[in-house]
Amino acid sequence: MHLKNKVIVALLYTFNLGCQSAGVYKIQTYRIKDLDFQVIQVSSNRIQQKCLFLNAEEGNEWRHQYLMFILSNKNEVLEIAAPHNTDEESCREKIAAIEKMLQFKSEIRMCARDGLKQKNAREGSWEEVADFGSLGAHKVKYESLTFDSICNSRKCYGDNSAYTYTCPGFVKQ
Amino acid sequence: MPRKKSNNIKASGKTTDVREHPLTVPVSKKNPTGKTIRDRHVRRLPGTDLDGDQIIDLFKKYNRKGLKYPTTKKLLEEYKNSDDYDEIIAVWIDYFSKKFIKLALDPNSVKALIASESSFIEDPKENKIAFGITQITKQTLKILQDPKGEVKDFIFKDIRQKDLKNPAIAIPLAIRWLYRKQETARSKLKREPNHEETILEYKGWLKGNSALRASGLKNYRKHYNALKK
Repeated sequence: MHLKNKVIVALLYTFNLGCQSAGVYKIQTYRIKDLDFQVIQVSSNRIQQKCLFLNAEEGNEWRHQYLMFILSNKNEVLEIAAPHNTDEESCREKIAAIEKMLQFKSEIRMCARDGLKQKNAREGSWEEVADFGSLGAHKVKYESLTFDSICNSRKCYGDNSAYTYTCPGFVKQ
Repeated sequence: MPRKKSNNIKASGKTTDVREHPLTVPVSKKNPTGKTIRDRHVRRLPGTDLDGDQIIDLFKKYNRKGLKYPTTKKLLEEYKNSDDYDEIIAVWIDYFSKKFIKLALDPNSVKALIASESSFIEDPKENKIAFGITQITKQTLKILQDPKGEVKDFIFKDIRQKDLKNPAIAIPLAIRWLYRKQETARSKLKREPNHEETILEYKGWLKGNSALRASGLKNYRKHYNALKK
């Protein structure tokens, strides 16, 4: 490859990385009655998912915790946890369904429940750090929020049927 | 009406030993006389087990006087169905505390446990191992019905996995299991467990690491504190 071409390729690569790292991240807090809600608009590359195995005793070894991590534009991580423990298979199915949505559109909107509070040294989140690949590994800064639903331009995913309210602009099932 | 005592029954603990005896059965080719001989067998004493119909019937007829209910309206802003199960919780806590002659469980503790396990969804779809509003596993259901198992002093009978979708069945089973978990927690801690420790034992985290215990209890604690406000 000629030097000129190499420079162009390098520039394009840098431009591409630049676009990836910039991404979109917007968060808006709403208060309905005494409840806090977070509406987060974010690029797919700023989202990571995980099923955490909770190594419990006796008949409870089924418990898995679905976790979603969102990287803010200040490189702070928000952890969003499903409200209930599930078995591993159901947790993996959730990851796959959301992954499909993330692959379809580069940007999503999601509704998380609870207020945004900085976590303390001992407790507040399930995980300490989340790894976003090329965007780096970053510390979870806030107490775990509760997963409500996630939407791309075509559809939404999440069961919020038990709740009285959901985020403004999101559908209550 | 006083129960008729059979002279061939020998009482012992929670079961009776019934000797071989004649039994009337429907007339059939196998039994054209309608009489047969029932082999010696074990029968549980009345009041030491309940089936599904008895659970429903007992709840309907239970004397509500002096029951302690969970706090109402505190979780309604979050969960629209959260007050729907208060009466079931109150009745069965009272029933088992009298049955086991034990200090009653805190009704708010049971309500917060349900919030953390299922958000008051009667049949959560996102779990293939634990079922119903109280997320009872197949394994726990088996233990709760085993006449020779760890809860043999009071068991349930003929409860199927699909019955756990009914909170009127799932909640008494969970409360009976919580009383058992209170005992196992006491044995592990060598002292009386508090409500959080009993819940940790229900979820299987009493002996887990402290980070797991703190994170795992967060949801329960949030709801319990809201109910206690």
